[in-house]
Amino acid sequence: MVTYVCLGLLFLFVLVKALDYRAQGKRALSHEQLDKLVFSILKSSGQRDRE
Amino acid sequence: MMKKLPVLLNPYIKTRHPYNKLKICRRCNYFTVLGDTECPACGKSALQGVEQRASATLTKSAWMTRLIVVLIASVGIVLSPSTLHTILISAGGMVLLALLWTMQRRLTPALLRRELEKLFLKEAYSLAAGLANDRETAIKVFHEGDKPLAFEMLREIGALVHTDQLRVEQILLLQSFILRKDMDLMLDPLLMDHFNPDLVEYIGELAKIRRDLIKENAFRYMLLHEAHILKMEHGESILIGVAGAAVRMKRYLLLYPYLIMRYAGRLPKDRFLRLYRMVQASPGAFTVPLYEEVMNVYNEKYKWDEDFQATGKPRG
Repeated sequence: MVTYVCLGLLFLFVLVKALDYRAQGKRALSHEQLDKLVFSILKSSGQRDRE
Repeated sequence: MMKKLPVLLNPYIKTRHPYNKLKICRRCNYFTVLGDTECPACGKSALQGVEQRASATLTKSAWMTRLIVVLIASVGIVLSPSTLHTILISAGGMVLLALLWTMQRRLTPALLRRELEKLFLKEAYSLAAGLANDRETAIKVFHEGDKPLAFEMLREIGALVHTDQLRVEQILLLQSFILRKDMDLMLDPLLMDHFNPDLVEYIGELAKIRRDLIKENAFRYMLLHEAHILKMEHGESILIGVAGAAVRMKRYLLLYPYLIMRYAGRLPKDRFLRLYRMVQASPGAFTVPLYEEVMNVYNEKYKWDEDFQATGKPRG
């Protein structure tokens, strides 16, 4: 019984992780979007400084 | 007039993506684009690239996940009542671990980018503060008198910080140097939306030594602010130089015929000869007013010039 519970747990854990990885992979920004993110962080901080 | 300095600038090292220039301290999470190993904030040799940091975090989390799989499988093995159950849980654990490992490896590039995004968002304040400190360091270097180093520092910061203030600072420093053809100069990142006489003068300098740097954005800038530029002391000669740079490519003749038309008559002979040859080579490709203007200038100034005779007779 314990074996099956552990196997079930393992399967569930790997499934959840795999789904999480897939979702994260889909949501990942491209390199260009990362550049834009950095530019926008620096730009907004510059504007805050001026204000 | 300010005396210009002869300087030697180190070449600008381009990275595939501007954010690749960012480094972060392992100890204090200070961001910088200056320096290779030593953190300007804490002084420790703990600087690492942001990708390295993201990769380290990702590797740690991947190993943690694998460890959890191994732990659950181990508990199953220890508590298994028979050999059959032990084999079952071992095989199942190994298969699932292999599956997880493969998935992690296949998705590594995307997960790395996701990790970078999290890092930038989480450390946004520190990122902005780090780059602001970098700028202050550059200004300090400038006040200490090392202008070339100050320019190189501002140029590094400028890869990520796109503000007019930083552009103006770079242009002012460039204008204090004797610019040479072999220098690693740039123009596009320094272009602004509003009119700036120092930028115009810098473009004028580039028109003399590095015409290849004057591209579409620069032509558009010059056309947009032409009225202001003409009011400058050497405004007209700068515009003539830029029109001369536009003669470099047929594409620019097609895109900016009116810029060239207005200054065709005042172009230096070699630039006009090039323009004349391009127009002669494919007369139908250009607008009629440009063709007519070139022919008018040719008839007025160069009709009997030997260099122009080899080019052939005009159409019509």
